[in-house]
Amino acid sequence: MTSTSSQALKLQGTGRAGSLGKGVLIVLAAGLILFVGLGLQSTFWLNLAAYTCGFALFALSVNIMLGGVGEVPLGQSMFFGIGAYAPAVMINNFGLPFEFGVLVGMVIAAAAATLIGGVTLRLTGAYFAIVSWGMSGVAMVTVHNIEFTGGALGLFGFSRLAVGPFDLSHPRTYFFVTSIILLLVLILLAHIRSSRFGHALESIRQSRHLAQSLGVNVFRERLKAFVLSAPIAALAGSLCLPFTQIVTPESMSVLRSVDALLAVLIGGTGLLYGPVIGSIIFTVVPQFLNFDANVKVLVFSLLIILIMMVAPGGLHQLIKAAGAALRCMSESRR
Amino acid sequence: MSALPNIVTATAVEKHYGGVAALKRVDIRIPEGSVYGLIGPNGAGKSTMFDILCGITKPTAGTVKVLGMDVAALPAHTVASKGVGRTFQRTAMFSESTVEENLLFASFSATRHNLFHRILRSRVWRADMDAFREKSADVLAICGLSEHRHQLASALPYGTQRRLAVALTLMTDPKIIFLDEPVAGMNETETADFIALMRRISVGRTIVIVEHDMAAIGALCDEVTVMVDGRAIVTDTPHNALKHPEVVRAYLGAEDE
Amino acid sequence: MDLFVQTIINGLILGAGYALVAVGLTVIFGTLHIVNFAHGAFFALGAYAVLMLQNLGLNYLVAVPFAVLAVATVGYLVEITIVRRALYDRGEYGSIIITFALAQAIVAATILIMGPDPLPVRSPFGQTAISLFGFFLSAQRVFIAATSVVVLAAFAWWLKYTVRGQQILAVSQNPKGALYSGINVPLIRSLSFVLGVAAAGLAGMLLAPLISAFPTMGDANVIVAFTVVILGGLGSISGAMLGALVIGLSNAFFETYVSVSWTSALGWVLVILVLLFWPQGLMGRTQINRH
Repeated sequence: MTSTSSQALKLQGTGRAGSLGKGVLIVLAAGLILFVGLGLQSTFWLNLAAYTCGFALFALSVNIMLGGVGEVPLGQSMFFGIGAYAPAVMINNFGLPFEFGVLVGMVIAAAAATLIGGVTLRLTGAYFAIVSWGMSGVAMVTVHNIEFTGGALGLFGFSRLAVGPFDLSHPRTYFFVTSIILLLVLILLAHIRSSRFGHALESIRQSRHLAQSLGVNVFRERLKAFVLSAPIAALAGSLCLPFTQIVTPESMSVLRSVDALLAVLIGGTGLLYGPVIGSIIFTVVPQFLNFDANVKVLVFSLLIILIMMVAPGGLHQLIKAAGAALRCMSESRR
Repeated sequence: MSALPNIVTATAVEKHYGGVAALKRVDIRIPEGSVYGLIGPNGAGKSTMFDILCGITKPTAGTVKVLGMDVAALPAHTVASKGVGRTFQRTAMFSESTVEENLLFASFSATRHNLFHRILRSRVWRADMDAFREKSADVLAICGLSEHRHQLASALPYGTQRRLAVALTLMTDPKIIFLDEPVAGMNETETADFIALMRRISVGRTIVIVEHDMAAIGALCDEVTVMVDGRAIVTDTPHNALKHPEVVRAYLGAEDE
Repeated sequence: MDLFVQTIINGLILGAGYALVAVGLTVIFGTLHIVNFAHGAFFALGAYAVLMLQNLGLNYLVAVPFAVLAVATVGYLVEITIVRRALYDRGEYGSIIITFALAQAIVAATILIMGPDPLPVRSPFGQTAISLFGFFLSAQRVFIAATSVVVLAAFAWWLKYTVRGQQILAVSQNPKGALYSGINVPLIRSLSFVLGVAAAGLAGMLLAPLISAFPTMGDANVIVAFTVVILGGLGSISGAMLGALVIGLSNAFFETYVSVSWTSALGWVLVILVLLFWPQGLMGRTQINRH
């Protein structure tokens, strides 16, 4: 079996064919953005589409840890929460602009990730997951108990949510801003993935032990990945703010991370834009089903279990398997 | 003993697990450039000694210096980047990737560029890429893997996988390579191929092998240390060592059990 | 001084309760090598099981053993459908995600079936307090501690002196070796899982009269359980018991002398500290997955 397929795709980036392929993808993506942004007329759907882009950013950050490093970042919601709280606090408590708050949030997230990762990334597996969960738990209790962050009720009633001249309270603007940011981050992550750093992470994910014995400083590379994922999660938190119009301690809850994990698992951890596909399914489908909140949790939890049991590689794996099956069928017919 | 300087010196090494003494005051000197074997019946402590020599395990007492470094005290990746290569029995390769990607992963410590260099396609990046192309072609040729370049590592036959493991350490330019039971599980052809490979790579390098396969040891090693019951019984050429009365007794005794 | 002794007594009793949950988690980890993130959900199931039996007219003390059976049955069904097929020997993060999702599913199902509000569970010990050397102990609390001690002692005896018990110990120490000795490893794993979650369920039904049954009651306890198990040394049963005492005491002292509203954060902080500084635990054996 020759399996050059997606494995070889990772090595791309040095060949001219690779650059052309990527260029085509970007053009397609831009086209899709324009199509959706100009085609949708309902404010609800435009806002939802924008929120989906924000959530997809969060899912991407979760996948940096899950699919990239190989750890379950139950506490990633902490950075999402920081990204939501920072602009909220800046606007409500200090009267400073939204953009400033977003940047502050990203910086705080990166700093927090450096400190936290410095100690927790020496752990792996369930140990890391528990500590990660614990961090977000402590963060949640903290913002719950402090007046500065609005206590249990959180912060709401924001005066102006805008990026420069782009007012995010206008649905179409909101969508264009978030989708373009999402596209830019995707391009950045694509570059990183096929870079020396990305390869190091992949080697660590496949075998920490072996990577280390070949000279890879496992701890340092994992820390870099973690510190990369945090501001992306924070950015996601900020961009979701115009949709939710409120930030509460629940924004930091481990349940947010689990939502993102589901999105990542549906789409497939191995594919760069898998989390994006999963996020779309995760946010759009429930709109048509109109479930009770708890039914939604029940269905999604069972779905996670099902996916992990049957197709841990998500849609990506299913599609590859379907493709292989089709090939087998056509070959046996000859 | 040999007149060449010692690349590995282990002095008075002891290892205790709970109340059990796995190693009892072992001294080992490995001359630079030699092919050195560590043999002994099961439970003799050779695997433990091997792990200590590589720096994977810390000795309870005694010191180990490889290339002048105290390998137990340094982190694994530092040891590797300073010229100590190891192959393991179980995690020998990156099974989800192709042979070429495997080598790319292994070239991490030999390359210098970062993301910016790459995006700007700077000189540093180009130098790294050229160096990799050359080196990987060399390594693939030496290990007989050139035609497998784009194959998935997990799809390779076992013997080929073990050669890939060697190829991976070669990418880090090691001065000394530790091999953990390299021909275990191989058939005759694979073993012969592997021995030939060992001969090729031993030129200008020191090789340390822990093995059960006496044919391989006999064919490759300049010197072996026989370990029995946590002690180094004899150090000599394979031919002489296996004739040593205590060694014979130990092996026959082991077979009786 | 009185307050001090009272705090110690509270701590010991808390510890006895934690020990049940922790030992269950340890047995599961020891033989299945998974951290059961769904453990708290089974704790809640225990409480709800005894509640439902009470609603059918059974007395609390009579209901407890049946409720334990009920939880064990659910545990067995979960084991054969999900756990067995998906978790064993799956090195990566599968078990974390699956057990976590399982916990969420159980909690959501509980909310849908029983409602989100806390429901009281009656117990014959009611509100009575026993007076011992001038210190007051809630009768229910004493019952919890006594039951816990008896059950754990019986379990320890069973592990050491019965064939099945020794098989469990064998599998947890050396699964391959156990397989070669002819031990039915899948059976032992099922048994361990069932015993582990049944212990959690028992703890839940013992504590229910004190804290009422509510869907997320397992969350706070599972954090403590993690701390206890990791502190005691993941996989060591005696370590879990010792850890339970330590955590029980520290929780009691924190509540008495420091603050109550930050107590939930204390649980997390303790887990984090223990994982960072004592990953091998007080009596730890293996350092699996630490590095």
